[in-house]
Amino acid sequence: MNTLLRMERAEGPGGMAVILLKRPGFAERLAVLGTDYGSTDLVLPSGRITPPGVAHFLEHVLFETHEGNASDLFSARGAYSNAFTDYGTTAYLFSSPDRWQENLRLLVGFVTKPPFPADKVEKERGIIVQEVRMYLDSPGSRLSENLHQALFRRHPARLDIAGTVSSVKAIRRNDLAACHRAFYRPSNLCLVAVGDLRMKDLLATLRREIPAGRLRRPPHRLPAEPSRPARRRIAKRMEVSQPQLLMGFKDPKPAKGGRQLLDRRIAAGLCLALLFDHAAELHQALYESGLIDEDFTSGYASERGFAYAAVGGQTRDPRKLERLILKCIAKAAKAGFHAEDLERARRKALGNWIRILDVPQSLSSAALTAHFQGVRLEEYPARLRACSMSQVEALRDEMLKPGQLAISTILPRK
Amino acid sequence: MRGFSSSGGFLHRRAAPGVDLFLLPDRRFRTVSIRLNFLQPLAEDAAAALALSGAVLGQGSAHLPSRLALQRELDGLCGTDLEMDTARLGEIHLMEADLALPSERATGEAGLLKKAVSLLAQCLAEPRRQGQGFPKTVLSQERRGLKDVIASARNHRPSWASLSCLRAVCAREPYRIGRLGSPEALDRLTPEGLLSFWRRAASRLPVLAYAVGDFDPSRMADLLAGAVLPLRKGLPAPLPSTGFRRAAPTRPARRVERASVEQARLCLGFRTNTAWSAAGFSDLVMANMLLGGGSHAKLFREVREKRSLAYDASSSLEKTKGLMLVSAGVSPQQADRAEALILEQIRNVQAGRFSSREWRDSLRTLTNRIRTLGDSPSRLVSLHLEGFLNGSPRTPAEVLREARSVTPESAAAAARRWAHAGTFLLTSRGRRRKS
Repeated sequence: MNTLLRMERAEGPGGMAVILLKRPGFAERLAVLGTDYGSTDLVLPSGRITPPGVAHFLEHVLFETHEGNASDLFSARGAYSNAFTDYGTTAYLFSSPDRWQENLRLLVGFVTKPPFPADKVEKERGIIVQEVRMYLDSPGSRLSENLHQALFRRHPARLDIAGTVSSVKAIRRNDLAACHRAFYRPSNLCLVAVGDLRMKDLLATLRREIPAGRLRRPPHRLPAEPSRPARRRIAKRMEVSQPQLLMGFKDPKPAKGGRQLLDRRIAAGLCLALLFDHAAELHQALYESGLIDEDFTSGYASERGFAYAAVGGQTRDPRKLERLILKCIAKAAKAGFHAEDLERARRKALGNWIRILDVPQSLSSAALTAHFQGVRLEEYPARLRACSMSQVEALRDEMLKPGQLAISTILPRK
Repeated sequence: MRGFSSSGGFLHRRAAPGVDLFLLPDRRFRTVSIRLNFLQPLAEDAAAALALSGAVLGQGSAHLPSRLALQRELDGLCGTDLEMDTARLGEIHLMEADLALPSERATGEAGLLKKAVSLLAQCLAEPRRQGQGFPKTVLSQERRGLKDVIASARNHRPSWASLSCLRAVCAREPYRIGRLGSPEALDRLTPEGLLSFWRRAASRLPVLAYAVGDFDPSRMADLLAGAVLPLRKGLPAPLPSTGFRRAAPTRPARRVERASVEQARLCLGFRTNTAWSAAGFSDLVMANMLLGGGSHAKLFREVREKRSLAYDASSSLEKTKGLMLVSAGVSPQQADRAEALILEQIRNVQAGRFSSREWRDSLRTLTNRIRTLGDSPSRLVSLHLEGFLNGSPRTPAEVLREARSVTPESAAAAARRWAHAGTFLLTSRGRRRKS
C-alpha cells in the first residue's frame, strides 16, 4: 500500500524539515511552507504575551516584500498562491506548472525574511478587520468558535483564530516582528512539495536561500487545560433558517503526538463513524425522522494541547437531537460495537485515505500537519489495520461521556 | 482506440441514440470518478421533479431497500461515494449521478469497479417502490430535505448575495429558477407522479456519461452502457438549449436587502454578450481574468490591496448563460465607495486601461490554470461538458492555444460588450440608503 504514497524526507538548511510527495507525470507542482506556530501560540519564548490574532496577521503581512506583494510576484509567473492559519500551524503555498525554482525561492524568501513595512501593516489591518467581520456573519464559524469557548477554560483555542476587531487593532508592528523572529526560524519550519520533482533540486534551492546555522526550536507555552469543559452550553441567535447544533466531547487524554496520536485519531475516526456516519443506525433514524439533513457530520480534532470529538448539524429541534445522540452513545457503551461494522468502517477509512492522494492540496496539508505532530502519514494504512475493537471502545468510554460534553447552538432570531 | 472516436480529449462512444460515453483512462490517478448527467431544459416543475427524483433514488434500491443498506454496501466497497445532485449550466438542468472510488489497482481488489457501477445502476433502474410510486415516506423525507436546502441558502451570505443578484438579472428568464425548483413545485409532486416522471426522464433525457481515472476503457464503456441502456425506451429528447442571451445596456435592476450582518455583500451582474461558441470567447475569458480572476486582477488590487475596502473582491463567469458576476464583501459604510470603485475598474478594462504587467500576469495565471486542468478529473469533465453543451468541446491544449491568441485590444473589445444588468446589496439594518 505504501507504494501508493511516494514520500521522501530530508533535513534542509537550518534544520528545516523537507518532505517530497512524488506525483510523476502531473503538471501541477505545489509547495507548502509551514511553521509550527498558530493562533494558540500567544506567548513568546521571553514570556511576553501577544494579542490574539498575531499569527493570522503575520500570515497576511508576510506577503509584503521589498520587491512588492508576493501574491503579485507569484501572479507575474502565473502561479497560484495562498496561505492559511490554524490553531497550531501557519502555512503558505504556491502551485504552478513551471518556474518552480524561482517560485520556491520567492516562497522561502518572503516567509523567512519579511521587512514589515509600516504602511503595509496598516493596509492589512483594514483587510483583516473585514475578514473578521465576514466570519462574524457566518453561522458555521460562530457555531464552531462558540463550541471552542465552551470546551476550553484556559487553552487559547477558545479564541477566534483571526482574533477580534479590537485585538487586531491592538497588534503592533513589534508584536509581528517578535513572533516572526521566534517562530519562523528554519528549525521550526517544514516544506512539503508535491509533484513531479526531485529532492536534490529542492535542497539545492533551499540552501541558496537559508543560512546553515541552526537555532533551537521555540517552546510552545500553553496553560494547563482542565480535562473537563469550561461550560456546558453556549447559544447564539443569528439570521438562520433553522437551528444548528454542535456537540463537542473533550478528550480527557489528548495524545501529544507521534504514533500515539495517529492511533488515537484512527480510533476516534472509527468510533465516530460507527456511531454517527451514514452507515450507522442512528443516522438512519435521525434522517428519517427529519431531525437531521445531509450536513449532519462528526469528526475528531486534535491539535497542540487539546482534542475533542464533535457531532452535529442543522436541525429543527436541537434539544431532541442532543438527547437522541446521548442516548445512542449510552446504548453503544452498553451493547458494544459489532466487528463487521468496524471492518466496514475501516475499509471506508482506507478508501478515503487513497482518495486524498489525488488531491495535491489536501495531501500537502495532511503531510504538513502530520509532520508537526510527529505523525508519519505513510503509516496510516498499517495503523488503521492494526486498530482493535478494544481501542475503539476504550476511546468511546473515555471521551464520549456527559461530563466531557459542551454544546454550541445557533438559533434563528425571533 | 478501437470502438471509440475522439471528442475534446476524451474517448467517445455513442452507446445508443441520446446516450454518449466520454472516457479518459489515466493511470496517474489512484481513483476513478464517474458522472452520469441527465439533461433537461430548466423549468420550475421539471427542475423540482428531477431534483427530487435524484434525492429519492439515492435512498436505496429494490434490492437494498433502505439508505442504511445502500450505504453499508458502499462503505464496504472501500468507501465508494454515490451522490445524486442537480446543477445548472445556463438554462440546462442536470441531474448528476456521481460515483467516486479508489481504483482497483490502488486497492488491489479486482471487481470493485463492477460492483460500484452495478450499485449505481440498481439505484437508477430498480428504485425502491410502493405500489405504482416511490415510497411515500421516502418522498416526504426527501422533499422536506430539499425544501430545507432552499430555505438555508440565506445562511451563507456570499452565496445568497450572488444568487439574489443573478435572480434580479434574469427575473423574466428560466435562469431565475433554482436547481431544486421551488418549494411549491416540490409540494405538487406525488409518489406515483414522480416515479412516472423519473421513468420518462430516464428513458428519454439525453445522457452524457463521463469517467476519468485508472480503468480499462472498453470495460468501462461496457459497464456504463450496461447501467444506462436498460433505462432507455423510445426516441431520445433533443439536447436542451443553453439559454444564452444577448442584452443591450439598460438601467440595471437594483435590489437592497437588509439583515443583521457585520459585513455587506455587494454583487453586480452583467450580460457578457459573448457566447461560448463565438469567436471572441477567449477574449471574454481573458477580460474577466483582468478584472477579477485572481489576486493579480484589478478588483483584488484596487478594492482590497490598495484601498483595504474588502477582504474579497472578484469576478466570475457563467459562460453558458453568458453572465458575469462581480462580488465583494465590504463594510456596510463603504458599500457606495466600493461600488463606484468596482465600476471604475470595469470601465478601465473596457477602455483597455491595463498595464502590460496586468496583462502579462492575467495571461500567465490563465494559461497555467489551463495547463493544470489535466491533473483534475472534475475540471476535465467540466471543461468537456460545457464545451459539448455549447456545441464545441475543446481539449485543454486547444483552450490554451486560443487563450494565447488573445490580444489586449480583443480582450478590451470583449469587455465593452458587457452590459450591467443588475446590482444586489445585502447590508446591515443600521443605515438607510437610497435605492
